[in-house]
Amino acid sequence: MSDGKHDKFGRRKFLEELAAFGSLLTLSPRAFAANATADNSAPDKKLASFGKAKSVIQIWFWGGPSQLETWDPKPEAGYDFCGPLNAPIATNVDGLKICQLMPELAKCADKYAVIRGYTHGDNAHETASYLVQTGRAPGRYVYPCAGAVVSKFRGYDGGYKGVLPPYIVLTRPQGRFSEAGFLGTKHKPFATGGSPSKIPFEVEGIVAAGITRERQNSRKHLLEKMNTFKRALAKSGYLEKSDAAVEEAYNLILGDAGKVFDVSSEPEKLRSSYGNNEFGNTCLIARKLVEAGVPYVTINYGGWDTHKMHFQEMQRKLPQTDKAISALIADLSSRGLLESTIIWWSGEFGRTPRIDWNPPYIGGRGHWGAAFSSMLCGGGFKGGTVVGATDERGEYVVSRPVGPGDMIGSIYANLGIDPESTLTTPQGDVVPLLDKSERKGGLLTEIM
Amino acid sequence: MMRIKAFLAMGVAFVLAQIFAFPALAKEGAGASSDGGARTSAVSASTDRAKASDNAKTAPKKELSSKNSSEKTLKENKAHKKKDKRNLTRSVKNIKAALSDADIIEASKPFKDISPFEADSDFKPVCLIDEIVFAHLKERGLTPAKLCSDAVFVRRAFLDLTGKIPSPSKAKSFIDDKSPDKREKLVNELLGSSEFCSYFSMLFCDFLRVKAEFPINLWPNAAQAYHRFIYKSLEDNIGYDEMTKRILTSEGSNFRIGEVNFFRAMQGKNAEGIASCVALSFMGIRYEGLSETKKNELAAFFSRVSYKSTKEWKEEIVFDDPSKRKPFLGVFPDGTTVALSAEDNPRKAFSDWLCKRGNPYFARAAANRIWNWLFGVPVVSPVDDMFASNPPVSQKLLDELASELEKSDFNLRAFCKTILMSRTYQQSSIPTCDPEKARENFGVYGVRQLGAEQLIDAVCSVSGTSESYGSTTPEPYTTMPDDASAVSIPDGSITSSFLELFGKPPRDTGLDAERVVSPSTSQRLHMINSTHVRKKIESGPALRQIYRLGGQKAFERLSLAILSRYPTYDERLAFRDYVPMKDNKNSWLKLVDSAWAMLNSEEFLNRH
Repeated sequence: MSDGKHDKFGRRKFLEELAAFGSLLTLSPRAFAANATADNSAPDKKLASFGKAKSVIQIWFWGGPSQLETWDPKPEAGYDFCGPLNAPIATNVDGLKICQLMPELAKCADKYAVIRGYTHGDNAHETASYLVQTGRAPGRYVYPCAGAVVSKFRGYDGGYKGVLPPYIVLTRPQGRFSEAGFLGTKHKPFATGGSPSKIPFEVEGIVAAGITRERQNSRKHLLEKMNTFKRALAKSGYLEKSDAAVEEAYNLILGDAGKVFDVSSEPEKLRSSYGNNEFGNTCLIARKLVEAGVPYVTINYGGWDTHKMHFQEMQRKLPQTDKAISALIADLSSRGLLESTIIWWSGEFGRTPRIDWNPPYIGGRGHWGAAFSSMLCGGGFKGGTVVGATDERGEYVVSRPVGPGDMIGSIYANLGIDPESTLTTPQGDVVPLLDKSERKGGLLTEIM
Repeated sequence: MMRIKAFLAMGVAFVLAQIFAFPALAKEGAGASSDGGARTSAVSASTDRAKASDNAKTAPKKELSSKNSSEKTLKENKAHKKKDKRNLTRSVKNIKAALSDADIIEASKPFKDISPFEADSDFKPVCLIDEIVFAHLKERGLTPAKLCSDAVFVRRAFLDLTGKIPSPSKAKSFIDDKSPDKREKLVNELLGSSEFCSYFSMLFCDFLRVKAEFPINLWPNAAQAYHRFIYKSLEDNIGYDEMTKRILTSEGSNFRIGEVNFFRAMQGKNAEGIASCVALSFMGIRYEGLSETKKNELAAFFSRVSYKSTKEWKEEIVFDDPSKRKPFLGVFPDGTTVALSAEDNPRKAFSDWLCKRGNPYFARAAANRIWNWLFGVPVVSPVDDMFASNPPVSQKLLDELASELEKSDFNLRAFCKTILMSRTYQQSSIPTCDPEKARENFGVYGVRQLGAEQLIDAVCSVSGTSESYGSTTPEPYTTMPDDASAVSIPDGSITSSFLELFGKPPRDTGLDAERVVSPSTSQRLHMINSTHVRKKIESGPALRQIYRLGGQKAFERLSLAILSRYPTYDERLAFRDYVPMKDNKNSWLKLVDSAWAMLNSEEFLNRH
């Protein structure tokens, strides 16, 4: 895994200038005014979709999913770039074609927006993850990712009253990535651990394997009887905070809130529509969580770093992915939750358009941060649109680049969080939420 | 050749004897009390066995091995040990019959109304600190707390001085000890231990920002060297003033002279950045709050500090740039001045001023910080912002503590001893008057949650398990030894999710507030229900050994191990009557759940 930015100075600079000119053309006058007065928070609020969303389901494709095999197929580019999947399928949106391995998603393309111009230029997993998830380049402080920011602005400090934690990761944290950054432990995600397909889903700390409800209750009573010191200090009030913490903990363990982690309570037909596999069940749990009011759910979906066996993996994984995500969209839609839930499909970068046929890759793709794709659905984002375009091989962005700051900023705006907001670091510095240098084409106003 | 074979045979027999010494010794111990010995304690047999197991792990029993190896062959040894084990089972059954659970409960009934946390005693001042605090309380119409019980004292002293809880045997022997000066003996013992050096190193490293990675970027070797310097200074018990002077005047390689890393442990490696850290760490002042003039005056003393690299990867030399030598008039923060020639070292001049007896900042900042570490209630809060608009709760106490530190020549161990032997420190944590006012005015010991490192180390020592600590950035990785305690971790970059959950300071700023001590729901959820803790309780070897004792004996041993005290009568009844699940007769569950309850009690999770 090579470090450092992928940079071709002359060409990149030319494209940036072209893109900047192009972005001026594609932006609406209102949004143009917004960019010109970036310090004034008011213009963003005039966006139609500001504040429409209440929750985010972030489906994080760890490893970097290929843009050519998902949202940006290039059948005309020749076998060395396109490979065997050279027959993309039409969707129910005129002119939009996506990879042939995603037929279910093709049927509901009017519900989501495809972003083909995503670019940040970094090919290192950790740096690129940081860029895409925080909207910032690495610098002096370790910034929080979108989930932690939402936990800060829309969590307990922002009026959230639910018993479930406001920022939940299904099922394991990514690793070598600090979600909360300088916001600290309070805004770290709650990682469930366990497996949603297993009944009971052993959600770390909430559902303990091998301990029945009866035993949870009886030993809770034993604790109450044996908490001699707590009784001795009862009148002092010194232990009030821990009392409250314990009570909330038990609300999760014994209360109804914990039941949200059980797939078996869903009808069989619905479970099969998601696919009855690990990823499918994870998406189903995610729906249940946002239905219960959780503002931010991350599904860490690994295995996309396909340097080798790339096409085999795509054949294996994409049908499952396709079925689960389209089921998720349909499920949210039928419950009337799609308008208030953003589904954000993304990885940290894409994959090299030029296929590497040499051993040991033999038909694999490397890391490609210069141009890749993403998808946004629901939560106020207009469906049935394509934002940005890449060249005929999918190597570089030719129109409407989208930087990490643009994507994250748009998500914040739809959640009602002003992208121009600031945070205060533990050292006392007041810093902006997003990095101006990573805002390339401006907020995704064309779909907001 | 024959000699070697005989030697080998003896060696193997020796090893086998160690493995099987436990039941044989226990049999001896058990035999003694089943003979109807003079012991009055109801659980003497079980504790003998536990002691025997402690002993078997440490001292080799030479007489046993030599007897066996000279008289029998290896095969006969094995058969002999098997018979011992069978005899043991019979003896244990005999003990159990002789001292039933009901007897044990009855034996504790007469003590049922005695508080396990307080000892009946008036407030008798033993030092000036006590007189000041007592007068301070009296002026406000407040009363001090009662003296803490022995059980509370042993746990408290262990945690406050070494960051660990006492072993069950240690707790028991302290509580049972009848000597009048046992508290002082314990304090001396703890202050002389390597665990004291380890724990206080950790506390110093927290505010000195000993961290290899972003944003301090010392680099692992340098962080370890810096920690080593601090540990050695504590081990050699050089005065705190001497340690500070060495730090402030140091120069050389970050890898070889650990203390130079003070000048690297900041984000802005320039005079202002250095001055800011000096103010925060040693003077209890926030540099940002000073006037421009004062800022410049302070920074001027560090204007010559420069850095250069060498051919060695990541080595950095800290030195005073000779080209910046020039005479200047140094103005100290208290307004006094010093005329420095070009040859004088401004850093030396500053550290001489800072560490001199009578300096208004140094002793007070140090004394306040250490007092807070031990007693839990600072005299001035926050401890690193002492001279702004927040007056001390008691100026007299602050001055007296500073004076004690100076009088002892900044001997940290002597200072800690003075505090620990004071009646003020030995108050219980249960207030006898208005709770809020009592706490603020030093009328109770400050109850607060265990530090993250203390907590995980306690859970590990109780269960006989360990955690593995390491850092995967940068390569090559750093791995700590398997049994390393969290307290002993030198580098702030090495952490774990448990430690972060419970508020271990990231060492990014050196602020005292970095350590989070307030409880949270996710913390409690983890202690109540996580797989991590559950595995330790159910499978931890030290706990399983206690469960095997069964019944009230096991319950008592659990209490000594986890809470460092004997159980109360009511607790024994609660255990006797506890039914985990209606249709499950597994007696193991009762004990597992009792251990779980103790580990989740406020008594265990807090320092008190």
